[in-house]
Amino acid sequence: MTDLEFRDVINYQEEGVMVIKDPKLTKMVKDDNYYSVLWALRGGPLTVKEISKKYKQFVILKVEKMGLEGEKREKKIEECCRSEKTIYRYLKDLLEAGLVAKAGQRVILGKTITENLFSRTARIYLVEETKEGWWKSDESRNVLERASRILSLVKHIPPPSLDCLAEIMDELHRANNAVIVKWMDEHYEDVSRIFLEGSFNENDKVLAVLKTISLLLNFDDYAKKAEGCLKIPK
Amino acid sequence: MGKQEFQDIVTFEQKGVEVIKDKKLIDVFYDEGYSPVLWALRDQPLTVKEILKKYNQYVVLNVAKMELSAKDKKEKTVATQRSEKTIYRYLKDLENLGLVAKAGQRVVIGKTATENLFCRTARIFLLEDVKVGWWECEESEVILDRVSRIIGIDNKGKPPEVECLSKLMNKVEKLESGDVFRLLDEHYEEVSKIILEGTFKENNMLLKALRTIAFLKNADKYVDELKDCIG
Repeated sequence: MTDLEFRDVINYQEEGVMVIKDPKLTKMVKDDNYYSVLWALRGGPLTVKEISKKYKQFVILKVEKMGLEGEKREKKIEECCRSEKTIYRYLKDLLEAGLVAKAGQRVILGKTITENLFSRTARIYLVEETKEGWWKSDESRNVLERASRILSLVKHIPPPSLDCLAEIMDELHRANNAVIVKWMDEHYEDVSRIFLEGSFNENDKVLAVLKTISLLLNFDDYAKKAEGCLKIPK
Repeated sequence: MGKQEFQDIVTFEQKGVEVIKDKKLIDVFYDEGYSPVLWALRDQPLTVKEILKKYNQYVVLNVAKMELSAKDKKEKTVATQRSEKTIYRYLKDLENLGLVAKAGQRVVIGKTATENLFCRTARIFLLEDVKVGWWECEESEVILDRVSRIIGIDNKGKPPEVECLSKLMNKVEKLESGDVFRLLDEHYEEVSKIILEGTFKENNMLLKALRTIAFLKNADKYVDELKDCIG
């Protein structure tokens, strides 16, 4: 379908950023099924058919990172893909939760019936991380163990404890997140407007810089913890 | 093809990590043609057919992330997908550059002819980009302008200068990478062995942890610089 064949009539304006604190909403945003719909809507309003198509692309991206081969890969893709009926159900749940909105109508030239368009209610969702993350999961232990051995080797210190390293990495991640959430809370309207100027990818980069700056602004606290834990002489 | 139908005989010993300093080699990693081959070989040795399949998947995935119209995406996908002949040519070039090697043979049970297996010469390649970083290029100005305005909101309406932020971010990036490169230079064999224990994904997280520790150890000098930027 080329650009000439339809017109989108949009009557919804998304916010620039939404801070998510409610545990129910946090759970939803982190749920693979719902997240894939939100990912599909990153670029702007879409019909259910288009969301389904992008959903499948996201599933393929995700499965690709798992490093599965042949039949296992195909089976996993099939397992994770969803029918249009299911996508519609997810959209209803997300609508109720306030994460998605009916954005307008797609008018197909020459046809009377229009298609609903859906969009995210915010260009970016910032989840307030209060729980422990990846660095405190079982999955991270191997990585922390190798980091500990490398640090011991190159800094000529006893291998730092894995719990210690996990604590630093996890706390840094959460504390950083808390500072940015606080900025958003205190200056919501102005910050939201600035995020609305950028695409999803650009906003990702803006957040990355803000994280670095927040780290530097609170550097003394983090550095003391690291020094005590790692016993690395300066 | 089920697992019982073939056996891979791998004779090449991959390095854990290789630091790339040569500009010509660094450019290869940013090359639209070559980089998907290196990506395809991230996890294990593969035949040319398998590399081709992953290559074209990579193209589809990459184009999906671009902010293009459906029509442009389709065109871009077709333009960047490749044939087996071209993949073979890329592999030859990458072999000559020392980034890829013949890893061994795939023996297909019941067949006389074997298939060549290819692999990366190192599990991870670390690029020592000494040229001007992304934070000093034009593309980053838009990003840093928005960051500056956001900080300005919190900073009594005084936005830091974009140029100031650009220099700072560039230094921070070099600092984090610099420390990792130093430790690799000084303890290559042992670090390489540790890296060989992990998958590509695990090694990415490992590097993230090492960069964070490097940052915490050395970033105090940038705290004052940031405070000067913010005013």
